[in-house]
Amino acid sequence: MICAIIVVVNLKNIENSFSRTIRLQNSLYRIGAKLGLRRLAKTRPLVILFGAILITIVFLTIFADFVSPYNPLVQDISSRLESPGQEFLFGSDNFGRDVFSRVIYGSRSSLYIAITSVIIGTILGTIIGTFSAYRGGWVDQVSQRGIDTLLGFPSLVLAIILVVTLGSSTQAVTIAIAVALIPQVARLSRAHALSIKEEDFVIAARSIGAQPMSIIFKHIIPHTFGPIVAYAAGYVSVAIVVESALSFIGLGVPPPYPSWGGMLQEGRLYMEVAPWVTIFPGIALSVTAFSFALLGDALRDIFDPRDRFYNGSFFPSGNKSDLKEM
Amino acid sequence: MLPGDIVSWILSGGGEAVHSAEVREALRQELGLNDHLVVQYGRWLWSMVNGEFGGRSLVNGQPIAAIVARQFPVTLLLVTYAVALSVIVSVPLGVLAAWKRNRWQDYLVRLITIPGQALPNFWSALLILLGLVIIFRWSPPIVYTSPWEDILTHFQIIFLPVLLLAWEHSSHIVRVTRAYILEVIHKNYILSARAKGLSQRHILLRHALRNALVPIVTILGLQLGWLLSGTLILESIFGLPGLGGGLVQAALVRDYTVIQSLATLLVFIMLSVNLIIDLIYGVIDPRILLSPQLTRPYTGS
Repeated sequence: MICAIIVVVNLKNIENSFSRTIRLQNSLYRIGAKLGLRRLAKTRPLVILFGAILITIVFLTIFADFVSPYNPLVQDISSRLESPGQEFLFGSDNFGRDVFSRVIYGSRSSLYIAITSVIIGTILGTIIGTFSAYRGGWVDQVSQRGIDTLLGFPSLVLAIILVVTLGSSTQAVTIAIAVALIPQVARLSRAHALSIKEEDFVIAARSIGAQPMSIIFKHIIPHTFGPIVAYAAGYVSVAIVVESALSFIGLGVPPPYPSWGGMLQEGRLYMEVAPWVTIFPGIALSVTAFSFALLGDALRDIFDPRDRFYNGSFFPSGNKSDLKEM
Repeated sequence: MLPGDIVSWILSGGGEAVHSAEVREALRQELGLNDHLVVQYGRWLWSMVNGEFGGRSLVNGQPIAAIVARQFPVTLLLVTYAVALSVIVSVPLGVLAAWKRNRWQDYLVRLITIPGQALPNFWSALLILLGLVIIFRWSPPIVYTSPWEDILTHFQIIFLPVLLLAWEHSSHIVRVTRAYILEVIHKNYILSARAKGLSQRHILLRHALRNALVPIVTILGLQLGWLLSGTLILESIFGLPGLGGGLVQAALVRDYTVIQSLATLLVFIMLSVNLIIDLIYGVIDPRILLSPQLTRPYTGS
């Protein structure tokens, strides 16, 4: 009797897990279909290539402790400015630190700051933009004028002012870049929310007495989030460049912690005798920023085909029809 | 109150030095840092209006009006050269790329514009400086000369930053020009122009380009923020005594009054160019003046 029950329960378990697997497979398949990976590979092989490079970079960043041969902070004056070779893959810098290890650890601060600031900026910008679109009236006016003011600042100037006010630390740089992104995301999400707001399902939700907050978070934001996430991937590339620009000026990640911009600044003085100190972090920076820009571009093509004429996408989509091009 | 205190910076001269609390307090009093923030802000606002541009530098006591008078022309020239160069070069390149679509001219243009968009400008600046030194054994002069003193030296020092800024700026314009010309080329008025037997050149320049001008001018304004951000870094690298380099220097020593005034001026440049662009819309597309809302077309999505 007990045995029979156990068997039944087990069977049920197995059945459950089986159907769960199928559901998982289905949803994975659906994501794959939505992203159109195969079509992407055919029309834009570069996206796949740089996607693979991006995955490698993220992998190296996560496992930096195991990959890098030296400690990026330990100085060894006896082996300063050595050229790339057996001992130091990318050479060594003025303090005898291994450039390869520093490039790998530098990706940590760059990616951490860029991704965190984009997440913060996107979430806050989406909430501000959607809320002001939904409420309309004076709330909209006030927040839009505030955003106008922020947009009047060139991004780097705004970031510098914020870093000066907050002091240069990793957190300060993250907040500065996030604030510089908020107005752009807010504009975008407001524009999307304005059209979603008039849809029938929002009116239906309002007519059954749903709270404004629940309408915004449950009905509007899920519909606008796809395009915004697509833009966010592109903003990561912008954030990486702004972060390294700040570090390059000397207002970013404080030394001795490695960051690509800071390494470019340090290596600049020895550029003629030891070009490898600047060249390798520069390559890492360019390739990473470029990959994220390309990823954002591909995502934008998929989620937000209306907008592909603006904001300079990197590659034409490779579609044969003229109208769809770029 | 804020991190990176200016008082300790002045007293220590950049190094480490310990001063008594009375000395620090006296200096704070002298610089007016002990007043309420609202009072300080009011003083700054008033000085912006009465022509002092924010009073004096906290670090060396120079009047900011003098700093601005020295730095503003440099940045203005730099931005003007860069915008002019990018407009002159990029619109024809964009038309060419659209005209010879998917032929070698198009691919060549794409090969030029992609690095312009993708490479961070300080990195390409370093590469170019390095290349110049290694290949030609030449590096640009270090001391800035204004065009009225010695025009040749002026261009020697300002040429590279202008080129880099224009490269980045024009890459976007080229791509937008190409995309829009390819879009309008399918419109009926192009078809009718072709049916009238007009030449390809005439159609492209008079009919297609004219109608693609509005988005081109729009992207010019949208990218201006990046152009000005670029001046901050390139002026620092090439040692140009402009607003951008000055702002970076002031930020490094926490010279708040100078930062405020220079940032305000950069915003002022950005807003005035955008105002000019708004006025240009009416010239290049008279329909905009007739529309009920005088809003900028194509910016909202």
